[in-house]
Amino acid sequence: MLSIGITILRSLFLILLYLFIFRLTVSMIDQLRQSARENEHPKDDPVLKPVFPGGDGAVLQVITSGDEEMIPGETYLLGDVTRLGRGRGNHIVFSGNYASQDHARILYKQGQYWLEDLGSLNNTYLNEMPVTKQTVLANGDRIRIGEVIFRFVRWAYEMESNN
Amino acid sequence: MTANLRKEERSLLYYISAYLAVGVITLYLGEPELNRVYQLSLGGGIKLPFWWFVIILSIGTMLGFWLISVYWRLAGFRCDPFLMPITAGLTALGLIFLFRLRPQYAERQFAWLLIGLLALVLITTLMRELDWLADYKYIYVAAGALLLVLPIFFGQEQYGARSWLNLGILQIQPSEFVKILLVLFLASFLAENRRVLATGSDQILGISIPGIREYGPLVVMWGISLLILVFQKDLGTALIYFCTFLAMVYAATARMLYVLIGLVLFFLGGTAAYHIFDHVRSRVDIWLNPWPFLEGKGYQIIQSLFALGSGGIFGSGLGQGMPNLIPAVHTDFIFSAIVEELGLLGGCAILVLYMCFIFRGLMIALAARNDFAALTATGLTALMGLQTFIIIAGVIKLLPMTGVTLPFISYGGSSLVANFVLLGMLLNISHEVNGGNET
Repeated sequence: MLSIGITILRSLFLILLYLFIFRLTVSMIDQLRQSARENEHPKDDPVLKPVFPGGDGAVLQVITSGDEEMIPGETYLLGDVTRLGRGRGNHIVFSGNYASQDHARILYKQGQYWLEDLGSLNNTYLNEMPVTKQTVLANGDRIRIGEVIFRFVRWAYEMESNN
Repeated sequence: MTANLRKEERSLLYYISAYLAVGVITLYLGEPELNRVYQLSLGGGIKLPFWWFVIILSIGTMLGFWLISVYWRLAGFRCDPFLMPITAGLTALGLIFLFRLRPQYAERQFAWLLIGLLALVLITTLMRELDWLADYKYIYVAAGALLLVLPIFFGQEQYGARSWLNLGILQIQPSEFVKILLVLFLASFLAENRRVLATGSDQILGISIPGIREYGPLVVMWGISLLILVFQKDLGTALIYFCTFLAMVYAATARMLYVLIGLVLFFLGGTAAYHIFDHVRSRVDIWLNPWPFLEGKGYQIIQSLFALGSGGIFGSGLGQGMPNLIPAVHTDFIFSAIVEELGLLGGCAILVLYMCFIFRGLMIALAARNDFAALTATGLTALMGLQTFIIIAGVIKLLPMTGVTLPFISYGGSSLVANFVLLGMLLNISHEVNGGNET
């Protein structure tokens, strides 16, 4: 009798080990699904706003995109605040590994666009010079983050503001 | 969200508790002779039957994990909910097999486990922000080198490796802790220089190569640690260091070239070591063909192979094998004992548990907030995975046997504590990923 009991216990030991693994796998898959769903519906995230309110209509044009999912020639309208980085809450999101989570931002104030590096690890380059403090952007400036190069385009509105 | 994570963790811990209980009961019913053989003498002349001791230790272990989970919930720690139950599962399995194989070591292992859990609590409380660690990278090199050099002069030689420091009541193996320092150094160095290392500043033969200033410190660091390890004769650890180094460089730069160079260097180093060091040569000879050394050097690995084979698919059942025939079965060869008694199924279960650990570790690395955290998580995970791979491959004679421990399962104080420190750092990174301290 006892020996049958022990045999059952021995199998139970293995079975419990596998039950644990099964339970673990199920909840890991659940979590993967959940995070996939969160990625599909980014509206759940209050920080993420793909709209660019404010600004005066200047754009960033992608020149070269490196490994990123951006298409050369694509333009991003600049708002009062435009954040660039790898985090999902940014306006311009990088998928590769060069950009930091919160890499840089472009501010619109006093009728000018200012580029600011947010302490990124790999620097933000303005015309191949690392940006160390807030810098005014001029039409045609090249902004490089990792292998992505943007051109700052503001010509159409330069005239208007002069009027 | 925080409550959910901890709820998940606790519901997984139920399984581990049940599983530890079943294991202990099975051992109790299956091996009553243990009760007679060992008695624990407490202070005041009271003798405690060994089984009480086993039960106290098991309850203490589970209680430790439970209390940590509750504490994290109260402290609002939002770490990954899977890593801790996986660790608890491996630790519980290790304890059961230690009771079974070497009951006289269980007491010490439990003490180390408590120290490890304490380290886990301290790290997850005090070091939630890991970023400041990136600023002290050359201190890690200095501390690491010092810790590695100490055993050469003051150390003790055990199992053919001179890597233990004797501190009176306890012996520690500094190289276990240096592993973590190595990962921290590499992570902070690579996070700073990855761009240069990835693209290169000079060109040789059409291949872009970074300047000496970028890779110099890396090579020096790697060379020093390997040289010291060669003098300590601790080959397994040297192998882990080197592979972790390659994995992290690859993770940071995504260039196969570095891995190829590393493998070539490794091959050259391995050949040189084979010709220079006797103990390396004997390890390799045993690996190639252990049968001529049946009565001597090859005895251990041959017994291990017998144990693995006799387990079959379902194993002989807990407490019914003869794993005690293998020398050092409680440390390096614990995997053979587990496979003998739990069979192929049990062995695969352990591998799956380690894979889940690595999977979660890499997921944390992918989601990490900055390069330093991502590289640290990658490095720590690689460390864990490589150590598991190297020891299991050694035990099943896929690679030459090198004496390292199976993380969380083997008996070994320094290794257990170091692995809990590693776990704590991974959890801190995942806490950052899940939103950190802000609500």
